[in-house]
Amino acid sequence: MLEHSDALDKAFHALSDPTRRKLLEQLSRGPASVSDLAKPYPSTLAAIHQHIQILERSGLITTEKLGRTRSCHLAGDAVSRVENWLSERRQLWEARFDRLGKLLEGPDPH
Amino acid sequence: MTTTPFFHGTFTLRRIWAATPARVFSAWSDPAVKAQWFTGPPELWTMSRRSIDFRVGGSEILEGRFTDSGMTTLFEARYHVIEPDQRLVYVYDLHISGSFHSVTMASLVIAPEAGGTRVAYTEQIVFLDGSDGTADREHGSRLMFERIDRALGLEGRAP
Repeated sequence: MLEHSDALDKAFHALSDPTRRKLLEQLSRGPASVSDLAKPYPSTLAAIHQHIQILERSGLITTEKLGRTRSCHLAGDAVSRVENWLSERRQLWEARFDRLGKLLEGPDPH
Repeated sequence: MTTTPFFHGTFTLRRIWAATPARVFSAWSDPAVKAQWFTGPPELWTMSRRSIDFRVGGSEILEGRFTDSGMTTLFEARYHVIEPDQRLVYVYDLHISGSFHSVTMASLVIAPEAGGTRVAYTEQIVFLDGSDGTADREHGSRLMFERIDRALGLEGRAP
């Protein structure tokens, strides 16, 4: 007998999309920021944001704002403070490299 | 007195830039260039002290403050390997609001690639105080799928 609970309906809706299934598979390997999750997909960041929102509403993932980035992880995964630090440290360097990349696009002063 | 456990983390960032290896390397070796990108998060963080002595055995300092929270950061590095336009290894201590947060070994590899430059930047980090009681990970997704399986009456069936 099927349990038609609201939570299950939301979970099935979340799982019905192949992109969302791939995002869940990625998160099963560890927490990630929305921008990192979006990298492999040609869709816009807004489209990925929408998938993340559906996954969060379904209760399958939890997200958390860390500074300027949104970090996602599987619901129920007790994400340790250390994993947050590692994720933040990586984000800090990604942002620095973004700035450096832009600098290097300008004319060479030497 | 209980010892708080070390935790270790590592990551590698890779980029390809349309600039020469010499120019990319100058982003680390030239203090004027480095100051333009090697900062805390812009608009959130203000620099209070910066110095660099770019040579093997030389030190570098970057100190700053997050405006909103008042949290301070102190980065103190020492250079171990400098191979111009090619490789860099340095180790740094990070203090956050006076508390010793982590020790990091950073290694950079620069190589020419397709008219530009390929970089790989790796950090190997020792976090000094990971004792927050949440080191165990529960696999909530597995539990969720088991609930779904039970609801569908699939539990116990061979795949």
